[in-house]
Amino acid sequence: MAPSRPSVEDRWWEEAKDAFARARELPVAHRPAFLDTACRGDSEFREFVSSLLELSSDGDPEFLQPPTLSLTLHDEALRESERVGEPPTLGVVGESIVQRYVLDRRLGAGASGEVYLAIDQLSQQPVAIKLLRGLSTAALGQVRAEVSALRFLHLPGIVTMLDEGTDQGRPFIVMQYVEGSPFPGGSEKTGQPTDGAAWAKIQDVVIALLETLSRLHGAGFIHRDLKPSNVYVDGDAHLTVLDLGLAARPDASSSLQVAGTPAYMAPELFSHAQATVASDLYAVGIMTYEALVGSRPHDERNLETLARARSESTAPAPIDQRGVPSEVANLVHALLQPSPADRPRSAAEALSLLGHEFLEHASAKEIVARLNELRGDSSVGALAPEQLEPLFRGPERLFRLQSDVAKELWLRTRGVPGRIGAEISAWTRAGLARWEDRQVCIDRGAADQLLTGVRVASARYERHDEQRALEQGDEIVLAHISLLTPRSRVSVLAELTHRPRHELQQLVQRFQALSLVRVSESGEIEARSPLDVERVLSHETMRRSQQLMATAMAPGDEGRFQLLIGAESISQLPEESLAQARRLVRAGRTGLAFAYVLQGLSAARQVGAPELDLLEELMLVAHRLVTPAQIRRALHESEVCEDYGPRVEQLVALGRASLVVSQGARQRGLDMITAVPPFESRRLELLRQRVRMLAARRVSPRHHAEVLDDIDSWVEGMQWPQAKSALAGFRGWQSYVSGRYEEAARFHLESARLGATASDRMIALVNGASAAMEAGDFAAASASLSEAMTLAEDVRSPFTEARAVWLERSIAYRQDAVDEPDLELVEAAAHLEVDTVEALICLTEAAIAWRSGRTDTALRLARLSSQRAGTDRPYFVLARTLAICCGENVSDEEFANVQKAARESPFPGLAIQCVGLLARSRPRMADLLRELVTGLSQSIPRRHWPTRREVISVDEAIRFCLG
Amino acid sequence: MPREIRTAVPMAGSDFDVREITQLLNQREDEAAGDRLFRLVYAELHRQATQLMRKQDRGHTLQATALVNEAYLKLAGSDDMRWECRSHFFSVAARAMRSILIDHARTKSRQKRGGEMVRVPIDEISVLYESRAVDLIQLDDALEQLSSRDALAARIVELRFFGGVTLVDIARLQGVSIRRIERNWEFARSWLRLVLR
Repeated sequence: MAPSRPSVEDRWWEEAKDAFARARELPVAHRPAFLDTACRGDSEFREFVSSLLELSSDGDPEFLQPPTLSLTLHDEALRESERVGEPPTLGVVGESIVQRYVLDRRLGAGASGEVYLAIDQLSQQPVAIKLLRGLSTAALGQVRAEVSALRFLHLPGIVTMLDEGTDQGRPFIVMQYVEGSPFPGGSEKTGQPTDGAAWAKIQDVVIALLETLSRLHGAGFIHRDLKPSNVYVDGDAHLTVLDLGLAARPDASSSLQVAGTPAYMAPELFSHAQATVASDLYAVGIMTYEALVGSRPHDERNLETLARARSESTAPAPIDQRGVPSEVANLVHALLQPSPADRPRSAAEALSLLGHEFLEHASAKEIVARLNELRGDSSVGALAPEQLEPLFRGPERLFRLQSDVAKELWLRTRGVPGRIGAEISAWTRAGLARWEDRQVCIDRGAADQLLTGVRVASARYERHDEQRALEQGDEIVLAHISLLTPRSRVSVLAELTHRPRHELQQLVQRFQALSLVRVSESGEIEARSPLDVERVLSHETMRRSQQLMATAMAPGDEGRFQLLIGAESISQLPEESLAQARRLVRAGRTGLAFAYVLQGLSAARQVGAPELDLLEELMLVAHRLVTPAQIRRALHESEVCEDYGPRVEQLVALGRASLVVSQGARQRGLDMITAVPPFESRRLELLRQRVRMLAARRVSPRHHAEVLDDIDSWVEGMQWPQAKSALAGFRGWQSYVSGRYEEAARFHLESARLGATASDRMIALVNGASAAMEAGDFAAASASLSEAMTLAEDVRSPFTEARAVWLERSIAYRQDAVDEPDLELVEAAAHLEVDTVEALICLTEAAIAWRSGRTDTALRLARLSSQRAGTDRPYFVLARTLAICCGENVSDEEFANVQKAARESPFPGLAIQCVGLLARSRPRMADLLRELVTGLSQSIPRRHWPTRREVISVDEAIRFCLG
Repeated sequence: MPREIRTAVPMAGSDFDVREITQLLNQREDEAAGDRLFRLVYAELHRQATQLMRKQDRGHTLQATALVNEAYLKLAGSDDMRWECRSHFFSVAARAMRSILIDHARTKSRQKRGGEMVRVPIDEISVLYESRAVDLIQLDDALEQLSSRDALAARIVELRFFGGVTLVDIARLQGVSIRRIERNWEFARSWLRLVLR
C-alpha cells in the first residue's frame, strides 16, 4: 500500500527545507518563536515544518542509518589473515628512506602499513617510521587526517611527529620513538583475580592518561581509538598516547562511519553517533576496568549484543566487590555510564572523582590568593595592568606575552581580583592557558585568540553601587554603552533607545560624573566597568543593537568582528575576518590576523560557506609569522577542508614543501617546491617563489642564482611594490651569502623602502642591519636596528624581533660593549621553535659568557647552540670548538673531525675562528694550524680583522695560533 | 538508468571482471553499458552478501557498509580510479544494493501470500536493513516520491542507506558542501519518517 502523501505543496519544499535547517540550529525552546516569524502566519506550512522538526528530534536515531552486520568480534590479526596471501613488505631492513632514515628493525605491521625502528642520520637518534600502503583515495584521506592531526599537536604525553613525506611511492610518517609497554591489562587475557594492590599498580598511569586526555581535548581533538595498545607506559609511569589515525577535530567531521575498536567503543558509537570527549572517557573506563579485573565488562562475542549490553548497563560485575578503593569504583562506574550525558564532562572532572585535581587548571580562589601574594596585601581594590604582568609566565622578551595578556585581562576585568580569578580559571579550563608553578602559562597563539575577543567565561558581574542606583531607563542606556564600548555615540544611543539626544547628552554627562563612562575627544563613549548587560537588555535587543552598529561601520574596522558575533551574523564573519586580517597585517599584528582568520574559518564551517579564500589567507599569514607552528596549523586546516579540491591540494603542497624547507632539507625541499605549480593569485605566487628561493639557496649558489633570475623575469613588468620589495630582499640575501655586504645592505634598505606592511619593513631593516654589521658599518647597522625596534612596539613578530635583538647583542659584542650573557633571551629564544635563530643566539651568548670568564655557562650555551644548529649548518663546528675551548671532553676522533671540518669549511670567516679556538685549547697543534690561518685570512679584508667575529676576530685567531 | 533494470535477475555465476567494469564505468553516456554495469555490480554484491553470511561462523568482522566498499576495493584494486568513475560506481552500487533488498522484500511478500518459504542468505541482511527503515517496500515507494520532488535528497538517502557512503564522501561525490548534504539528509529523513509513519 502506498503511503499517504502529506498535504504539502511542492512550492513549499525549498522554503520548508530552509526553515527546518535553520530551526534545527536553535535550542528547542527558541524554535516556536522562530517558526512564527519564518512561517508568516501560514498555519498549514508551520504545522508541516514543526512536525518534521519533532520527528527529527524525537524519532529513532538509527532510522535510515546503514546497519552494522551482526558478526562475531575478533581482533585485527584475524582480519589480516583473511586477506589473500601475504602482501610483500613495504620496507627492507637497512634501506634508507629519503636518504635520511635507515630502517633498523620492524616493530609491527597492520592494515595500513608497517612500523620500523629507524636511525635518523642527521641526529643519530632512533625514530619510529611508519611506511604506508599507497592504497585507495579513502585510505590516503585517512593518512592525511593522521598526519595533519599529529603535525599540529605538540603536547606532553602525545606522540610527536618529526617528519613526513613520500619515498618511492610510499607515504611515510616519522614519529618520536616511544619505549615502554602497552597500557596494562590489554595484552594478557589471563583473567587473574584482582586484589587491592591492583589499583596501586595502575593508579599513576590512569591519572597520567586522564591528564594527557585533558590536554588533547583542550586542544580540540578527540582521540576516537583509545585502547591499551595505543597507550605506551615506561618504567616511571610516563605515558605516551600513540596512533592518532582516527583523531579529528570535533568540528571537522560530522558523520564518520563507525570507527574505532569495538572492544573499547562507547555504546553511542555503535549507532553512528559522533565521537565526543565522553566516548574517549568511556574507553578509559573499559581500560581501567580491564586492568583491575583482568577482563573487559560485557559480552563481546557479537557486535550487536555488545552494543546492547553497553547501552543497558555499566558493567555486569560491579567493581567495588574486588577490593578496590571506593572512589576508583565510582570513577569506573561513572565512566561506563551508557549515556554520554551521565559520564564526567571532562577528563579533569574524572580526575576530581579520584580526589585528584588536574594541576594545569586553576581555581579562581588560587588565582586571587596568588594576586594578593604578588601585591603583598589582601586589599580588595582593583589592580593596574602592570600589576597583572607577574601572573604570567611569559616570555615577555621577544613575545611580549606578559604585557599583552595582562592588558587584555585588565580590559576584560578592569583589574577586579574576583573577576580576574574567574576569567583565568575559565582560560585554563578552555585549554587556552595552563596553571603551572603558580603562574599562568599561555602561548602567543592562544594570547592572540584572546585578543580577538573570544569570550570563555560567561561573566556574571556584581553591580556597583552607582550602577545599582540607576533608574531602569538609564540603566538600559548604560547597558548599550557597555555593549558597544568603546564605539558608542550619542547619535547611536538615540537611535537604539528612542530617547531624544539632548536628554542622552545630559545622561552621559551624569555617567561621566559618576565615573561610569569615559568620553573621548571624538565623542566615543566607553564604559569604565563592565555591566551585566544580559540582565538589562533582552537577547533580541542586544542582537539588534550590535547589528545596527556593525552596519554603520566599514568592513575591517576595529571591533566590527566582535559586534557581528554579538549580532549572531555568523555568515558575515568569514568575510569580516579577512578584512580584519588585512588591516592587522598592514599594522604588523600578524599573529592577531592569524587568529581572526581561524575564527572566520570556523564560522565558514558552521554555515557551510566556501573555505578556500580563508585557507589561502591563513597560509599567507602563517608564512609571515615564520615560526613553523602556524604553518603546521594552516596546513592542518587545509587538510581537513570539506571541499578538498585541486586548489586546496596545491595549497597543501606549498605548505608541506615550505615546512620541509624550513627544517633544513636540501634537495628534497627543492624537489617538493618545484613540483608545486604556479598560483593564479599573485600573493600566493610570491609566496611560492619565496619558498623556492629559500630551498634553492640551501642547495647550491648555482640553483640560487637560477631561481632568482626566474623570479626577476616574473617580477619585471609587474607594477606591484610588494613583489619588487621581495625581490630586492632576495637579491640582498644573494649578495650577503656571497660576502658582498655593502651591496646587500643597499638591497635590503631598498626592500624596506618598498615594503607595504610594517612587518615587511621591519624584516628588511633587520636584514639590512645584519649586512651592515658584516660590512663593519656599525653605525648604519644600529640606525636600521633602532628603526626596526620602533616598529617592534606595534609589530608582533617574535622571529624578527629575535633576529633584531641578536644583532644588537652581536654588534655590542663586536664593540666589546657587553659583558654578561642574556640568559632570559636564550630562554625566550627556545620558544621560537626556529633552530637556526636559537643556535645563533646561543652562540653569541656563549661567546659573551666565555669572554667574561663564565666558562660553565659558556660551555652549556655552546653545547645548546651546536645541538640546535645540527651537524650540517656552518655554525655547528664553531659552536663545537667553542665548547672544546670551554673544557668539553671530546674523544680524539671527534677532535680530529672538528679540526677537519674547520679546515674544509666553505666559510673562511668561520674556519679562522675555529682554528684559532682549537689552537687555544690544544697549544701543541699551533704549528700545524698557523699556516692555515695565513692562507684563510686572505679572503677577509684586512680592515675587518680586528672586529669581525662571531666568537673571535681574525687578529685574535692569529694571536692564539702564534701562541 | 531505466526503471525496469531494477528488477533484473542477477546473472548466475557471473565473474567480477575488473577490466570490463572499468571500461563500462568510462562509458557513462552509453545506456547499454550502464545496463551491463548495473547487472555486474548487482551480481557481485549478491554474491558477496551470500558468502558473507556463510563466513559468519568463522569469525569475520565486517560492516554492512563494507559490502559496497569491498566491491569497490576489488574493482579499484591498487590502481587509483578516476574520481568520476568512483563517483559513478558508488551511485550504481547503492542503486544495486537497493534493488537487491527491494527485490528480496517483494519476493518474500509474495511468498507470504501463498508461496513456499525458502530461507536465503539475503534474509539476514534484509532484516538488518528493515530494522532501520520500517518497511523496505514502502521506503522504496516513498523514495520514488521524494525523487520526483527533490532528486538530490533522494540520491543522498540512497547513497547513505543502501550504499553505506558517509555524508562526507557523499558531499565529495556530489561535489557540494557537506553542510548542504547534511541539511538535505536530515530533512529527507524527517520527511520519510512522516510519510512512513
